[in-house]
Amino acid sequence: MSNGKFSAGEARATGLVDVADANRQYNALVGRLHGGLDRTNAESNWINRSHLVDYALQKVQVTNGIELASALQDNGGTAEFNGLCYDDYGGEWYPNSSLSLTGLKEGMLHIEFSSCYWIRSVDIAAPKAVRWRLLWDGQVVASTGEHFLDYGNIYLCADIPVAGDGTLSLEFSFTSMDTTYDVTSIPHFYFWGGSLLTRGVWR
Amino acid sequence: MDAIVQNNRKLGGLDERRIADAASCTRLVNVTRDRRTGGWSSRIGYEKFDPLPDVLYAPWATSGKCDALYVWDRHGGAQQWILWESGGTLSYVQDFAGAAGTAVTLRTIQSGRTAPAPGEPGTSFCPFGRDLVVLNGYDAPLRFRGWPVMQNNPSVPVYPLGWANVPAAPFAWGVDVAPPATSGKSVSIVADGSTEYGLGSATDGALNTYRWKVAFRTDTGSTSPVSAASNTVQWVTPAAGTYQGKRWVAYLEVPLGPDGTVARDIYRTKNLGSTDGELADEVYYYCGTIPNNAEKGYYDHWSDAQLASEAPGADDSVVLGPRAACRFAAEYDGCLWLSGNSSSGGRLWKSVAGRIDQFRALDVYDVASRDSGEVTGLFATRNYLLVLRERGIDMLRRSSSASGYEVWPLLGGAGCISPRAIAQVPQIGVIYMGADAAFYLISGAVDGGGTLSVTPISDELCGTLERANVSLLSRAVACYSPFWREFQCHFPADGSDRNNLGVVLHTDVGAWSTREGWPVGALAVTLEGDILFGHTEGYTSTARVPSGIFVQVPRQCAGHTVVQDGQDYTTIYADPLTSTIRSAWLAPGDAAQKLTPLYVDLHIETMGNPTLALVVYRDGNYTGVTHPEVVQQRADHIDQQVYGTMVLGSGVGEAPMPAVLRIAVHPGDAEGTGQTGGAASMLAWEVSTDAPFLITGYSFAYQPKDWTLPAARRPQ
Repeated sequence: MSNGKFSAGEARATGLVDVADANRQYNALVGRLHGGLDRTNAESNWINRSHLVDYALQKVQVTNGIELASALQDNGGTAEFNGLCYDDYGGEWYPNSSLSLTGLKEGMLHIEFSSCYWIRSVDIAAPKAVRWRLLWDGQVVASTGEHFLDYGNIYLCADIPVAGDGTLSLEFSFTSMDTTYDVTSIPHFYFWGGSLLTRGVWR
Repeated sequence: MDAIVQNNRKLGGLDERRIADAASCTRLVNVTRDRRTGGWSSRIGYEKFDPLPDVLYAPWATSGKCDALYVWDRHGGAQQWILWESGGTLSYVQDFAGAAGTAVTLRTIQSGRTAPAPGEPGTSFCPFGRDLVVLNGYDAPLRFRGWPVMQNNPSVPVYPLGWANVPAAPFAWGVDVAPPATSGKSVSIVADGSTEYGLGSATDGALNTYRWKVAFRTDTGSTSPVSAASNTVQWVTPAAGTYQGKRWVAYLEVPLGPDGTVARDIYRTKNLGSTDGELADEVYYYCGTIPNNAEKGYYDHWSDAQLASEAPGADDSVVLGPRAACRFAAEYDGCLWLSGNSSSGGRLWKSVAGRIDQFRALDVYDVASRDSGEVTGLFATRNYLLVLRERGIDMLRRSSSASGYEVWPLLGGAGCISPRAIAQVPQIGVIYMGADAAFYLISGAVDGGGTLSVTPISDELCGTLERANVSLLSRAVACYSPFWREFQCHFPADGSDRNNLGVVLHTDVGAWSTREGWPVGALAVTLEGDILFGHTEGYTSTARVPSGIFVQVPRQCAGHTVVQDGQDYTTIYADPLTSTIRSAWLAPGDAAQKLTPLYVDLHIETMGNPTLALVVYRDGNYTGVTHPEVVQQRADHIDQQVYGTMVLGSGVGEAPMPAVLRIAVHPGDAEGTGQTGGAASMLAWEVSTDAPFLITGYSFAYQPKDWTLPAARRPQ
């Protein structure tokens, strides 16, 4: 039968052991699996939840609580809170977090990252800015421009083709120290509340 | 005398006329056409929609007869909505959500609908873009959107079609130029001094007068009728003080729209000043949009100089009014066409192109001027719209006339009262069931020098169609399946008030057959070509009776039977339907010449050991001689392996082979006239069985006798 759910043949008692009849029902079902079921076409009339195993079509993971790497959390000895200090950081891209994603199949990976940040504005002559980027197996897949506000939210989103498991990395780049205006031992930057959503949708 | 053999290598279709081709059949019941061999196969039946045995007939266990069934496919079949109506409740079948093990369920779209009377066709459906229009001539028409479906919040995306009422007028708060306000609702918001912002005149002491209107917009892009004017807001531009010469911001309370409203457009007059004239003379301009159906307030800050687009006229969008009782709809030329109910049966209304909720006041077409009766259906095909009427068929298409469309009579004197018994058949045309219970084909084209013709095509069914209950032909249903290559129609017959007889046109060869014992209340075809039908009886008061949706399948079963196993009930496949082939009456040579039948050779495809019994009829007799059963194996070769004899692991799969079953015709006990045996002037053979068979043709051998019919008898 055309859709694989209804009968496509029948083995009658005392009837021929008809090869074509047996194949018709089986091929309809298998053909449906091959052509009628994918991430864009889980046809509503053919399968229901009971037919699917977990992660048959997609896999989702949400990672919360992403913040400034602990190695950079420093109060400089005097501040009442931790943050990025220039005695720990000199500039350029810093690999803040890394997430290994497993169980992925060939298909598309949807990535969303959101967070909020704080920047200390010392002097208008030395503005501070922060940039973020996401990397998949070392390749940049999403990046932001420079954020200058004292408080702000950032959001990155990307849809990339993937062939299987890989590693997703989050990096940021903060303005390097200005020797005239900046002090090494006070926090200048912090981000928190990062939420990373990854959703793999199989081809 | 030597035997004479008449070969009919290719068995034809049903032909009930007395003078018919020798290869035709006088009965052809419950068969389907085998594409490979061209023969008639008995391997056909129906099973329930949800094949699981332990769910019985769920979710239709308590559903009565099916009044309407429709399959709406979208996105190449990724979304498939099966709509089911019974007992005044319209639902859709949901079999795609929930945790593992969730059974198929019915989600109600609308309950309390008017159930159709026996002589009424019931609900009709018309897909238009992202919406499915649902209407029955009694209840207000609906738009069913289908998606999105919220798993945890069981809301169904269904909206009213069009607007039943003009939007309520907005309420404008007063403008208080000397705050605080002394009484009532007022605002005191000064606009910037530029000419871009602020209502009113900057001239000291000028009187400013404004009114507003509102219109709703749906997600179909349609705009509702414009509301009545709001209350008047007046103030005098301050001539002194802090707010001297200032313009002001107004505030409106804007009514919310009905379900489906996605935005509300605000229209405003320009400053009427001291000329508080007739409302009808006022001109309203578009001044802003609330892009949702939630906010209840709107701050109007645009100056008159920013207003340019005039508001829609009163005729640009009207309430549904008489259209609310429309029975049929069709999509043609990008517009939604509606036909009236019994009180306005000669009217057609057209929506604005691409906007199915919006109707202009003058977009109405009256087809009742010709004496062809009410409109009984609409069907869009090619580049014209068929208007089915009680005593005729009209055609509506675009023209250069002032209205943009013309109605032409296509067929007069014979109409169609079965709006659900019409289907488009590829490479053939449009087939419909006429009011005279015959089938007609509309084929050809109207452009490019083509000729449009209406041709009767069911002369062969003269006997079967005589049984149709013409009073209830409105209940007839038809469909075309590209998978089965069948146009089939089921209608009430033999006085019944339910569909109980079907006819099938096998479009590959243009041959007819009949279907008996199929409880088809409503028909629908999926994108893949599966034929679904709703049960014509359903649940009444007896539990666990067949009800709901069934599917035509190549398995010989007439649905299911419920069996009890301890405390549990399950379904098993019911007994097969009986399939029947009866040949034409064969009267070779001189009609008065007697002949002795010798044998009938059935040209078949082998089926194994299921048996066939041949019945031979003589001279028009009602009863025939039943011959011993024969197996469907080749007589001159070893038998093919069948279930029960093949050893698993060592047996070889088989395939049906062409074979000839030679069945000697029993001479009978006597050779006299009027007996079941012996010589005859006319002969016919029949196979009627629930066994699988595939018959492609036959040969008939006979020997002419040396005597003929006696003279006709005189009355006694």
